[in-house]
Amino acid sequence: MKFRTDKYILRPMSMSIGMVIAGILLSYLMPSLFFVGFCLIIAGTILSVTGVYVATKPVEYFMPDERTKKNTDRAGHHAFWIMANVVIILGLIDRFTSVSIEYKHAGTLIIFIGIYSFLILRWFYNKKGDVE
Amino acid sequence: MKLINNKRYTFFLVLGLVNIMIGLAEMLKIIPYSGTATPGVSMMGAGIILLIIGLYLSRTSESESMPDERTMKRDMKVQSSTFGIILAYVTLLALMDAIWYSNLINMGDFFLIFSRPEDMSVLFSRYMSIIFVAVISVVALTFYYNKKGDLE
Repeated sequence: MKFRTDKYILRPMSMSIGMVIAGILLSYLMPSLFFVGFCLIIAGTILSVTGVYVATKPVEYFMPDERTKKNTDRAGHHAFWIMANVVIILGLIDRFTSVSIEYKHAGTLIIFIGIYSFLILRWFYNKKGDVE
Repeated sequence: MKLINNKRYTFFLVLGLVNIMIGLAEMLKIIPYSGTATPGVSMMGAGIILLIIGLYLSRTSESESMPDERTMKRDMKVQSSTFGIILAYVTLLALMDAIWYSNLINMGDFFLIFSRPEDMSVLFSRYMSIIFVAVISVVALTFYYNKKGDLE
């Protein structure tokens, strides 16, 4: 198996390893910030694994073609409107009704709706075929 | 006044009229309401804006008001990019909230939108700040892609 060693691999890999080291140091030196350090370690590890996977593939493998770009743009456009509508509706409910929806509860919901609507729409447009 | 038979403007006109009527009904206490703020004025304002858009569309020809291929492509690219920006912003706000409530870092009231919800100005709540960021991003990116020219 051949690994690529260009700057597009080395830079993110060094950043991810730096994140892991920063996370370990933060957890040891400042126990009150253990949560932040733990998140840094997890994120760094995920980035490192992704980096190793990407390094095994040629550059052309990840170049999106015209159709994929169009599909992604179309899915992102619809996901944006879905997310904007969810935020507007939640904001209106919070502002104009006696029900109070705090952001700390609604934030995760908004993120999930945004990500999953984007993924589902991209899958749908890829399945559907011709995109205008 | 010549009106063009276009479904788009009819939709805006009807929506505007419905908004104004609901707003009026709320202000005249026909609809019972128990919230802290009155939505009547806002609904009437939104209704008037929709009416103006509908009347404007009715006066323009269909070929003028319909977006061309390039505009559609640009809008999709802009909104797709804005989706990413909004997702990052919502995640940042959620993380800030998580850190705030776990009392790890005392951020003070320096950032209005990151301060405690009970101290927060109603006009600039977290939800409104998300919409604000979305609108600014759409306007800025539209300007940028218009300037840039050829879209891929």
